[in-house]
Amino acid sequence: MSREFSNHIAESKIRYHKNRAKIPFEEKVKIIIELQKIDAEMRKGNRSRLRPKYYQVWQIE
Amino acid sequence: MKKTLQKINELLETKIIRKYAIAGGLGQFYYIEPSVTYDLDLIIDIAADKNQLISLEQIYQWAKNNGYKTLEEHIVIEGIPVQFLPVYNDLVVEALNNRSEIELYGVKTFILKPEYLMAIMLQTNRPKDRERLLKFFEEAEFSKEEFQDILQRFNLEKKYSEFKRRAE
Repeated sequence: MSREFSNHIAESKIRYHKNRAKIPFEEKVKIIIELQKIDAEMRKGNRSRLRPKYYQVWQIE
Repeated sequence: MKKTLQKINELLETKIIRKYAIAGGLGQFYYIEPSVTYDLDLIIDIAADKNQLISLEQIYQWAKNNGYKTLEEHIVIEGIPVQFLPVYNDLVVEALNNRSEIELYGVKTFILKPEYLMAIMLQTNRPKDRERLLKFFEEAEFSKEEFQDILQRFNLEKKYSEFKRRAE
């Protein structure tokens, strides 16, 4: 992989994350809840990982 | 989340707390790309007399009256575990006093400014804080002058140099 190409990928990634930082907070909360669901699924397969009790998917409208 | 914020504002209206601001992960994710978090951290100034010990008793009583459960040190308000953190040092006191008023879900609320969140992350300096601080530099809009001023006034310049050295 050329240096130019890898720089291009790195820059696009930064741009992507920067754009994601600008989305409305309400949308970010939806993303957080989806991430909580994914995390909960992953934890099912890793019971040895102790988590605090409040690590629960938010039950909100 | 709307109901959670409305209920939190009730604590202000009933003067159980004097001031509050969203901090922690959710506060950070207002400015940067979100990742997983499970609670809502609130920095608070409790309505207590100068001579009284800071106590969360009134908040827990309010939670009980509203039928809210507690989970470890959190109170689950309308589905979201909320942790109330009384101001614990001068930086946090100043951060709370300079909080921003914003509107989320049509509800008026308060949040710490990015420059203070960044300084608090630097002061706390856990691996998670360093990782998120890095994201602030890449993604957040903040005032470099204000951040530098805070670093200088709270003797955080050395920590900042160390952070930059690690990040390189």
